[in-house]
Amino acid sequence: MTLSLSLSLLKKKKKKEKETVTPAFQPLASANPKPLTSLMAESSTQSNSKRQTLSPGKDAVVDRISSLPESLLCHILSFLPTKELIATSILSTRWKLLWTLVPKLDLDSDKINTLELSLHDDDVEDAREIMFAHVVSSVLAQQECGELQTFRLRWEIWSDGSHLDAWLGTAAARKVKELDLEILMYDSDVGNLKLPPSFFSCRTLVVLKLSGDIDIDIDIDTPSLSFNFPSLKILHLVEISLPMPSIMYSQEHSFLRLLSGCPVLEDLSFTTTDFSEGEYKLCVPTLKRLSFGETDFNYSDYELEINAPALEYFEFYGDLRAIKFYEKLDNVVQSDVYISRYVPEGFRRKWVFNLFAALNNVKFLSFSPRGTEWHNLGNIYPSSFQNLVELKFKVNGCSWNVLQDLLQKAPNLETLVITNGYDSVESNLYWKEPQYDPANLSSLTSFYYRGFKGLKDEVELVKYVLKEARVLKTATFQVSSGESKESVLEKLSMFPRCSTTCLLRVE
Amino acid sequence: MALELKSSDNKIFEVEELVAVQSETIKSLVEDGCADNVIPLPNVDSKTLELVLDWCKNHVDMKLDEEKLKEYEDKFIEVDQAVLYDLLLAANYLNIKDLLNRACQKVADMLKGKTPEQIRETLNIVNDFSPEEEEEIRKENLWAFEE
Repeated sequence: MTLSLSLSLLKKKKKKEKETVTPAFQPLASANPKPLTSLMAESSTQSNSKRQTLSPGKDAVVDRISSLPESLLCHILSFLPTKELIATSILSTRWKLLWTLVPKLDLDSDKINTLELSLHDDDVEDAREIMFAHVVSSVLAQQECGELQTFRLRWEIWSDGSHLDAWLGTAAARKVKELDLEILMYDSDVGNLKLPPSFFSCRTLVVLKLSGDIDIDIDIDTPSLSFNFPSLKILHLVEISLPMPSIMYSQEHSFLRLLSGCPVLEDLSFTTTDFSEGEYKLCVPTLKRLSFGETDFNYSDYELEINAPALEYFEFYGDLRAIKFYEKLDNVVQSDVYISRYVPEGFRRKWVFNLFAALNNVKFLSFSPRGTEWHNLGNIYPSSFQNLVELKFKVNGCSWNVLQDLLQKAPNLETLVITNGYDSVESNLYWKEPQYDPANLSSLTSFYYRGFKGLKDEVELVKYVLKEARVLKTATFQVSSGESKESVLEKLSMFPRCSTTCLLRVE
Repeated sequence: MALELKSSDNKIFEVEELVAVQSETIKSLVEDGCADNVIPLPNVDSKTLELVLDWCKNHVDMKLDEEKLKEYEDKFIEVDQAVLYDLLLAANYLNIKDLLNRACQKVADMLKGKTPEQIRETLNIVNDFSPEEEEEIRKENLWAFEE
């Protein structure tokens, strides 16, 4: 116990009343009720009565993993999906019951095969369903850990999703912290899966992820079936990657009612693909991260009002709509804005304007304006981005003017990353050098160009940057395959460089 | 402010406080005011400590560049088993959560997609079950042992 002794001596020097055991000696945050006395051995060797002596030939090669402290081994095992986890029970006697101590359930119905069944084809799916249900129940029953950290289920349901109620009931009783459900309903006649009553009793949730064919149904008349998640910090409502509709909001604004039941929410992401016409007011004073957008074009005219003054990270992807922020986001640090394209009639310059007004304090901005009509909008930036330090811009051949204007409004920019995202759209627009202003690019130290093809506009931009950036340190160009690195480097080296310390690199 | 850390083989490392306090263990020592002298780390050898400190330094430098950081982490963790276990134990002892998780993830990845026999071979685990015992375990959760 030399370590705890020396550390405790250090602590005693200051005459503090503290335990002699440092945090490192405490078990990892698992609610395992078994006394983990094995943790007190700080070295990697640990006496294990069942450990075999190794044959002489294997001296150099030792089984170190089995002799790790139990809680550490459980922590490693917690990174495995349940199926692989249970398979470790056969490795050796040391491993036989370890899996039961891992407070996690992570099952995918797609990965669990039917046994040999001599049934007619019609019955196979039902049998699969019954079998999977049996697997989930039996895993829950075999687990020895009192608390359940994570319940993750990917379930392709043929017809009967009713078992979920019992499982979530168990999870709730075991104080589940993270719930991740991905549901796919095969039979469209059956409709989406409704969240069972026990879902609402998972009051200890910190992380909730729902995706697929799930209905968020809230019965406001029954308090026990209302959203009440006092510890929920992360909420992700996502679409699955199959061509199926995303989360259906079965009641008007039930999504918003869900949010009001999450008083400490910090991280929210959702898709707006199924938003119907109307006004949606999002009010989450604790929110730090917000990400939303469309995965499929939504033809409805909806308006989204966001009241999230503590926001630090904002991501938007899709077709821009009327998104209104209550006020400028004072704390925003990073923002990723991907505007896929827009319908010319519907697009309003003021939407983009409003967006950038709210994001004015941003430090790290990633902006990808797709589509062809940007040059018609004029200036879209209400004011200068004084805090903007890093800009990642994906240019598509029609958006050079957007970049141009932005560079003039970012006097403190240190890093500029341009990505060539040219689509096949023909354009007669081009990069135009901004009016001379000594502040432009005056702080730029790093310049990256990804997917450099040597196109005319790209070359003009590069020339401009090299010419104006007085304190530029590195300019790195990632060329697409088929380009000779040396010839590109040679060409670029010919351009006049303002900064004497600038290093050119081609990868 | 710089701190001095001493490895098990008595090598002294001078580190910026900002870098060192990524270890919750060291952080609590600093907060308790016990970090004025050299901090002994008898459970971490110099080779491992050097790697750990490189991790910590890069996590301070690249804190806001997620892409770059991920690239670094993926490269960092490509080490052979012996080094991996040393890192794991050091991260546990020093209480560096992200390093611990990354190392655990890496070990877990070694277990994925392999039959029990293959796992035993990779990790040098000796099978001390009798064939009857093994069969019993398989039967209890047959679905977990099927492809």
